[in-house]
Amino acid sequence: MDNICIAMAKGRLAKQAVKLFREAGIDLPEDMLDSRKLIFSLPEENLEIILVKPADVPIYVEYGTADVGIVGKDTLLEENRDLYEVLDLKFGKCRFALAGLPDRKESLLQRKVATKYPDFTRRLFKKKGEPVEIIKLNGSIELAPLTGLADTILDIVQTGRTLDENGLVVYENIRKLSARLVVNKVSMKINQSEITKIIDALEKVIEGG
Amino acid sequence: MNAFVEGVRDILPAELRRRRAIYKRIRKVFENADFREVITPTLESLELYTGIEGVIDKSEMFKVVDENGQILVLRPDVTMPIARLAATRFQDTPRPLKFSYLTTAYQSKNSQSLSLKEKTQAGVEMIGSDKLFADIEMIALLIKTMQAVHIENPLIDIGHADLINEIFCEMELKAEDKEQLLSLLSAKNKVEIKRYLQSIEIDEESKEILLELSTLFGSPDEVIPTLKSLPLSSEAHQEVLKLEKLFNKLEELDLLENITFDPMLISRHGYYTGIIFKGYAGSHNALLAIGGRYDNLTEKFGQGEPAVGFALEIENILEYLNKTHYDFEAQNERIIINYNNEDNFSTAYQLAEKLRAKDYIVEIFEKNKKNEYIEFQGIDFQLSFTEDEIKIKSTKTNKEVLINRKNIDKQLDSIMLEKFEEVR
Repeated sequence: MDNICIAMAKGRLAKQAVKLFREAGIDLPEDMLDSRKLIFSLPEENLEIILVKPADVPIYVEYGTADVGIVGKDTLLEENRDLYEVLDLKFGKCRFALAGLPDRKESLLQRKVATKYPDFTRRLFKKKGEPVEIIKLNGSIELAPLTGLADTILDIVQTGRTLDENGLVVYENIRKLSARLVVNKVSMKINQSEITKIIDALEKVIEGG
Repeated sequence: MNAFVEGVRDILPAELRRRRAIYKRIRKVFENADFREVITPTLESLELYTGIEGVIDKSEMFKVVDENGQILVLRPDVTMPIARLAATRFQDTPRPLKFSYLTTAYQSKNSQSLSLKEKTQAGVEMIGSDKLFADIEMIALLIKTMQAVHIENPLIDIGHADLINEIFCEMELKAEDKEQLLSLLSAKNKVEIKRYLQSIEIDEESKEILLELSTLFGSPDEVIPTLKSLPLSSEAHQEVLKLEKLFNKLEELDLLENITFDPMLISRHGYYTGIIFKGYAGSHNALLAIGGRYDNLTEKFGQGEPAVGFALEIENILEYLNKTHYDFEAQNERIIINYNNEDNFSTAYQLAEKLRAKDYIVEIFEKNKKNEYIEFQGIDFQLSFTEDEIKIKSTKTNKEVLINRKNIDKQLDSIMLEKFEEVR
């Protein structure tokens, strides 16, 4: 029996994931995120943890390099990979929202939308039936309307403070987001008992809390 | 000039050798069960693949326009051409028809991990039998084929389209809700299923069934009893009993340990109407084979009849075998003969022919080849000769042996073979 490999999104999600696993009785070292190591072998738990960039989690899991992944719904929606999404981990809660300056006028030309999530944005506006120009940015999306690069942004909003401090308002809340547990489709079948054990243990903590 | 095309590649000798070994084994299994190999054209009419809901997306096919302006496609799949063949040229022949194939298929997008546009598929189709036992035989044949190419622990995941239809048939749900729930169930998305069930009007019984189904898969021994305990319609229950019978028969064949059951398994190929199965190798996360029943497909060609088949994804299998390092066939030994001057060419050639007749792989050259060449080609022995003697040298051990050519010309080959043993 091979170890089950879990891919975690580096950063805040991984911290909360480690906490959740520990509460569920899966003994991850508390200080594992303090080092710069990217791969952790936990032979007693038959686990291996890898730390990857959030957007790469669905890729590792789809290709089966990792059996299980922990990643935000925002990334899942953008990547749109062929995976089983089995559990809402109920942390990392936020939402997708369209935002911009308060006095946006209907543009004569098509709307320009700046985002880190171009694929999701394209599908969203296709559904709305509104032609838009999508500008892919890699960070500080809030700058786009302030500098005139775009008139709208699609981004994740948690408390709304960043928008507020930059004088932006939410035009429309698109959907709620949170961290999810995803599983490789083949691995789910081959390693059913091991993976079900992990899912059940985590679910118990989540439902209990 | 950049002559590189994405998604296609050259197959080099080492890989081709392995492919041939695999092809040989697969063909043997197919032929022994009397599935006769056919080759359908690389070019098919676009119409063959359109008009049936959900077969293959038009945008995923490679199109070619012929001199009359007709749109052709590079065969994206082999089942459709064989269905066409059965309904046209084999219309009046006795059933069942049993065909096999080993050929390439072309798709511009590929959901598999290997993003190849040209894929090799080996498969079988049985047309004209609607028997449960045809399904069982197909599953058993797939396991046997996988074992023949040294896939250890083949795992076949089984589902059934009729079961899904019957379960949903009785539920009072809007069509769009059904579709949404079905896609969530097949994605095992328990999170969204719960949420969705709370957002729609649905009776408690249906809710219970759907929630249970969201996590119900695994060994048939466990899944079947749970399914039987659910408040399913009698039609759905009938389907469960049919599947139970199928699993019982597979158990009698000692194959149950190779089987998992996922009641919500659906396929990207929309043409499967009954049983669906997917083949994997234990601990390897790639789809190696897919198959199922497609009873409505031949209708398109004017003669509807039941059919069942499967296809193996050869590239995915090769990838798996690369990981397991299974050595397929011992290669024949390689020999270089040096003849040193032109006068001896004919002698060298005749010597080579004698050895080739014994299945040695022989090259002849005038001069000694450099070590790089010998290493690159994997040469086992070097031969040189004078009027009186033949010298055999092993490139592996560097041992040499001399054979006297006088008196032994007639039995030369058998003596030489012995001498190879001496220096090996």
